[in-house]
Amino acid sequence: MRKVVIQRLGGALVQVLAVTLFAWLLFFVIARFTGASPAQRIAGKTATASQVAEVARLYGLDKPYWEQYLIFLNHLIHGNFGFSYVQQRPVSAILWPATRATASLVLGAAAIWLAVAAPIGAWGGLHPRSAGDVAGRAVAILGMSIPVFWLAPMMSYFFGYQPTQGRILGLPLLPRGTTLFPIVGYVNFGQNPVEWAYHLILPWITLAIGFAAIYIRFIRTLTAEQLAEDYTRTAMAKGASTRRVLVRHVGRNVAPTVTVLLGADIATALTGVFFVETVFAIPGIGYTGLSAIQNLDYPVITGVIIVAALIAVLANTIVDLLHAALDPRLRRVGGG
Amino acid sequence: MITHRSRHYWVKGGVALAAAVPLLLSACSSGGGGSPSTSGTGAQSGAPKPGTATGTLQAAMSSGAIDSMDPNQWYFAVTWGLANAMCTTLIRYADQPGTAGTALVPGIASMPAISSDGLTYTFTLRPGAKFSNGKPITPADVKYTYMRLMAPALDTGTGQYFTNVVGAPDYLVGKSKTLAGITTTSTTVTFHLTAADGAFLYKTALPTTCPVPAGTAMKPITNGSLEEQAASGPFKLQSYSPGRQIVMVFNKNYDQSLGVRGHVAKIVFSIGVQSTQASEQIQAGQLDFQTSNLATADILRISHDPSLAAQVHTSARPSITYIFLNNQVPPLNNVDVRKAINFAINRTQILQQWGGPLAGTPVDNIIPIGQSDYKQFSLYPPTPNLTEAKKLMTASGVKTPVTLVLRTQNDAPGFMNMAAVIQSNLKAIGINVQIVGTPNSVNSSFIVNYKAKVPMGIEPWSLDFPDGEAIINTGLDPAAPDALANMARFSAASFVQPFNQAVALQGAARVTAYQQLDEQLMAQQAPYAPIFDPRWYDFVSTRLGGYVYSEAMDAINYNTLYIKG
Repeated sequence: MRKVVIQRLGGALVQVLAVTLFAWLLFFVIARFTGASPAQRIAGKTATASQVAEVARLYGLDKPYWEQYLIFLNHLIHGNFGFSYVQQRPVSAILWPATRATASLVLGAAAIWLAVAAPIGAWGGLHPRSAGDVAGRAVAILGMSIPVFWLAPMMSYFFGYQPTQGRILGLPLLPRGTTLFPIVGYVNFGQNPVEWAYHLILPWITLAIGFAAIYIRFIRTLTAEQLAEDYTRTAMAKGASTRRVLVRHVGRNVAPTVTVLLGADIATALTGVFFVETVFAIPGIGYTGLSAIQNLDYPVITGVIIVAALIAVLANTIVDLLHAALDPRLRRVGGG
Repeated sequence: MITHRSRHYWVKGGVALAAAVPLLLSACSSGGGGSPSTSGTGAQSGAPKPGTATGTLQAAMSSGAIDSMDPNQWYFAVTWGLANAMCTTLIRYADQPGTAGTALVPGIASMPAISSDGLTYTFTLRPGAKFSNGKPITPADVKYTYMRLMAPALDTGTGQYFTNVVGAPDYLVGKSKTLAGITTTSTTVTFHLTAADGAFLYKTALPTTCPVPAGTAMKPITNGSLEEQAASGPFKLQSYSPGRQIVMVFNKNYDQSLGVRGHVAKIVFSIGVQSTQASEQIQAGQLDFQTSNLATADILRISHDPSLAAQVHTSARPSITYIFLNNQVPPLNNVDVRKAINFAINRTQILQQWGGPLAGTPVDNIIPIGQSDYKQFSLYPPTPNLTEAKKLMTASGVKTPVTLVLRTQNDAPGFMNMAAVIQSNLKAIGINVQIVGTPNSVNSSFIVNYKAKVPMGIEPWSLDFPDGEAIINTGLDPAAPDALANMARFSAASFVQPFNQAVALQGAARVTAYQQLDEQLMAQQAPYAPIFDPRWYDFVSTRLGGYVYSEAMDAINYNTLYIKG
């Protein structure tokens, strides 16, 4: 297991280096070849000459490329993502709260889509082609078909705004002025955990619906496959209860695969949070990135790319390690 | 979705941002139920007692609406709205709706004494003028403010409006550290000009002339600390969290003898709220107003609901949306081609992509409707006259088909749709338009760059002050085709003298001169293809009183707002 952990962390390190190299190339080398001064770009259009000079000194822009890259890496290792001259504060001070907001959104949504998909998918696998299974698959197809950029404003409209007008799903069933969910907004967890969850319920559901649909189908298929295996039929023949077979046998084989998928999907979800954060005014990574692009705030854009990539690498690494922990076969790979 | 209301940032190193009504529905609207009020209210029921400031207003602001929180740098309409609340300039605009709001009234100074030759303006500071930290505003502070806003280190751009001040040309480019053209006594500030400037008073009311204490660092201070300590308006900044929130509170050190202004204790702006969600919040009673323009779909929805009519305010804006035609790029260097484009575009159809009649009026003037020097003419039709357009193309001798790039922003929905209509219109006269849509910040960096030789682009423009100079001279100075704002790269030598003459005139002669320039430019040169003048359309909460849209700021006037009792 230790060898697997070392190998996986080594792989993650290579990925991180590749991502940072890409970000560095994007804003330092390409900028130079296209005729723009990287220091001017980083400092922003309104920067004074002394600020531009300070940026050039900070990043060693007169030094060889390899040295510039090492300086860049050194800054990142020390949590120094640069300085936003547009917002007049360190990029890390912008990204850290944004990362927490995005993590709140993605992890909460992941918990919801797993909680919904696991029982429905397992039930479908247990009862293939039953009415419930067909209904579940139909709902899953619908869920997969709804784009999040459409779903987000619809959720806000139907469950945030309409109740305030005395309607729910268009029907006049509520007293006027009812507030079921906030239309937009975000509250920090540390400020008020209840309000934090209350403000995130609609965004969580919005982000979770598409993934839940995928997981329902995935878990259903995996469960059905495992139930057709000899070992589960043997267990059942020996009198094991359905619950026991599902939990002790099927679950153990399905969980590692679902875990791997989860890692990839948390990274994929980062693209979806862009829309959700924009509609619900959640100041996360997607929202911060959009704002930075609108303001040509290069240090923040670079920071967002790196943080998003790091989240993806981190999620995949954790999932791979979990996978290895859950699946003994992986721990033996390479004789480890 | 609209990003935010803003004026074109014509200044050096600036960023253009569009004043926009977005497109969500291109459906035609024949009007709506109810009858919205035109901008502004006079006395309303429940109006506050003078000098009282109670309650908290909740407002929404789109991301990217704040360009800078340095009072000598701010330029976007949203920040000008904030400036109007937190700053009192030497003289200022009246807190009135409509064109009455473009009248100048005393600010921290009385109306100035102007020498008979128009070269000297003397302002006497009024008692009671002080910063929010309680310190009095002195003539030395005022002079320092002008030196700061004109300093190359701040690069505000609006400093260019003061090139007529003695010594300014050298000071603006850093060749001189002093500005001899502004002198002070213990109570007065005097501006000495090298040439008469008929719009000079307007320029001394620009929000970037917001007073700051002498000695303030000659570098951008964008964290809001100046608005906390050195606000001079009825409000001051309580907190600024970039990208999240701005909280403005009543400034107890504002002397109401300078003008009774400010009737709420606090205004909280949540940043990053989309226009549609903000409209829903307003209707739900969770929000009082938004600084962004409304999404077209919301305009249509709200305008068709008679029960919401009392919450709607509309007004003419000091703005125009036009296509600039680069006079130096073939075949647009041929005046017949430029005129042919003016005949070929369907202004009415383009406006539909922006929200239709509720959102603007098709025009062929350069000076916007509602300005004192606006005079309607009909050189080019609102719908295409292809016969005339084709005749002009033939007369031009230009071989067709020809391909031309049209640049526009793609982060506010209406622009790309408008570009598509223009593309379709111009195909009929043999011009294949290649649309290049990029985020506004990127688009701006191209179109203001003389070397980029951008053939055409869709641009919104809000006037910095209510005078033809703010678009004619600023946007089309024939003596400076490489100027950032001269995106048409207009350089007709025959117009140099009329431009210089007009800018020095005053009063009725000035109005007539700009009316004539507007018509002559379009009749003889057609450097632009004007499309429409946008209208202000606002939707506010039922409890919001004292609504006034400031034409001068192109923003809501926060100084008149109150919460209905």
